[in-house]
Amino acid sequence: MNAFADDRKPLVILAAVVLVLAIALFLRGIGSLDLILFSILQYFATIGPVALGLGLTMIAREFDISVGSTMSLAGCVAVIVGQRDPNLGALAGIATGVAVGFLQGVLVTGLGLSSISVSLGALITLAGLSYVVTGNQTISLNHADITQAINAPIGSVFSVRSLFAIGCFAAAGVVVALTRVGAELTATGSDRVAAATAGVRVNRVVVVVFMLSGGLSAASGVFLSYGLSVASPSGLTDVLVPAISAAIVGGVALTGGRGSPVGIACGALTLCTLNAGLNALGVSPTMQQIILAGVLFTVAVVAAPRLNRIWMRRTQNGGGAL
Amino acid sequence: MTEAAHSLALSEGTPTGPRLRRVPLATLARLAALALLVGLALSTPGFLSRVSLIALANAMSLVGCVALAMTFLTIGGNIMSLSLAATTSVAGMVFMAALGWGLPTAVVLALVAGGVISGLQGAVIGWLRANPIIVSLAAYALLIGAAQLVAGPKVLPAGPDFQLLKGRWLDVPISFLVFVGLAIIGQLIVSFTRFGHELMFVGSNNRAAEAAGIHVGRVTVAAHVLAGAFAAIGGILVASRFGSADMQTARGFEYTAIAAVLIGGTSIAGGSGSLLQTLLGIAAIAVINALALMQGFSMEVQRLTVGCAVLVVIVLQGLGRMKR
Repeated sequence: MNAFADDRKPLVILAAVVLVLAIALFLRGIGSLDLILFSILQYFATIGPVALGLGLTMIAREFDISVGSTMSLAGCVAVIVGQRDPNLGALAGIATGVAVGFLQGVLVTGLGLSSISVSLGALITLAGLSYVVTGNQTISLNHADITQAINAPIGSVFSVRSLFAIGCFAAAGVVVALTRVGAELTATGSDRVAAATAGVRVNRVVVVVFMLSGGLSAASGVFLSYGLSVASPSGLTDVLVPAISAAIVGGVALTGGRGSPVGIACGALTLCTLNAGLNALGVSPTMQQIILAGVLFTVAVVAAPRLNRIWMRRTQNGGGAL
Repeated sequence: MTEAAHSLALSEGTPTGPRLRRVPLATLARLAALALLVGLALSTPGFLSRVSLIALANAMSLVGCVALAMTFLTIGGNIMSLSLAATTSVAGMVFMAALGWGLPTAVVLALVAGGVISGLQGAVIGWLRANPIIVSLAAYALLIGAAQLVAGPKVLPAGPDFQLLKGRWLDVPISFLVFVGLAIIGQLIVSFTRFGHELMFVGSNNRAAEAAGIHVGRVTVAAHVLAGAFAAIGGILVASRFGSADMQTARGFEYTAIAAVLIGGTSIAGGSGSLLQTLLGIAAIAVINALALMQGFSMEVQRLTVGCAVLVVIVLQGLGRMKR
């Protein structure tokens, strides 16, 4: 269904992008490799968990368009509560995300609504809620020590933020690969009726997937806000474009039932490497945005079901000699 | 001939049965909301004053054009376009830059720009069946970047003719007249043209429509071109109102627009709805905003209220479908 949906392809794409970046850096003279790796992983920490959550909903054949709003609301809640107690703030932010995900999952499964409509309503409502809780102000955390600790390099390329993101992927990867959950997720996304007949509690899978999507986006928002020491109701980063691109490049099919956390991680790393490469080459932010948008556009076209069918037909007719 | 007429009558008759049964809950909720709004409006001192009504008409018309544009896409089964507000802004920029060649040329160029930008997305969505949300999101990011690259942060008018559109006719803002005119034209297109009927059919079930011989791709492209042109008119009005065009002023219009479409009663699943309903939806949002402002609530609460209203509508639509 998706030209990217192949177990090895995400890895190949990632390797290709890394290679191109390496050549480009070699030709221009390598700066500090540690610094480049660090910046790749910092960006990965921001978009990785969101892409993972969104990707999991897509594998289950749902689509959570509200991840950006959830991320921003969780950041605001965390910073407001966290001014007194940062740990409590982080907890409150993530709990907000999980609760939002739970409500969306229940609405989607309970009423049989399309997840795009529910999460669209949630997107608008959560954005409004962010403005209400912050009073339309940018709020600072006032805990310089925590901001420092979150971003401080660990082993010269990692940080608390990026290790958290890597941990999320590792946990998700292990659970999906080694337990029933992975099979149930894929079954729910491939054919819901068949999955239900086979004994999968599909509604529960969908609700859990939405809770994960909300919780992971929220965690990313909390870490980002703590790391920047501010939260803003209008959001601190445009996360939907890279997150969707990462999931699809990572082999998640829009038609559901295909994809894995490892693939999504590769997709996210591909985008982060691209981003870091463009930065290192001195490409202007405007041009970077155009390139990233171009990537998503290409991905959308390549993943289009009709194109794939035309392509398959052509290779079947003329591809015999190859 | 009779057979075709019969099948058409059937295809139109089938959905009305369940829709009739679905009406009570949604209608009750809508009537209750309307009564609440009217009550609040009458109890708010100064709401019916001339100044306040002109402000209301002004507030409605700009985002209203984008909401009308969105209605074509929602009816056609493509939920919403995340790039429609960016299209609006770019069309406004084209309009301002082209004013040196006179008002008519500038308007035409802006309409063409809007139609082409949106139509290209429609081509990818309609012919390749690409996901409309993802395509429009990519287009949104592309447009923001490209506009910054080509035009810079702001486009100043190349001529003074835009002042005309800021004016009033018999005390009614021109922009409001344009908006209402667009709603009527759009409604005529949807109700009385072959394209309008095909759009409804494609929106309710595009596979069935294709099987019935309708060119789904062509209809989707046409809906997008129309949406782009309608949004461009919104862009012209926005640019004229503020005397310059940028990518910031219309930011977020797409969310208000889809809110108006849904609150008006167009189904998010596609296949039913009307532009006049969207007009009522945008009026409801404008009244909510104006009331909140006059009652001393902040901007923030307005956003939340509109968001909750959208969620309620989506849930009600879902409940209605379940009963069926």
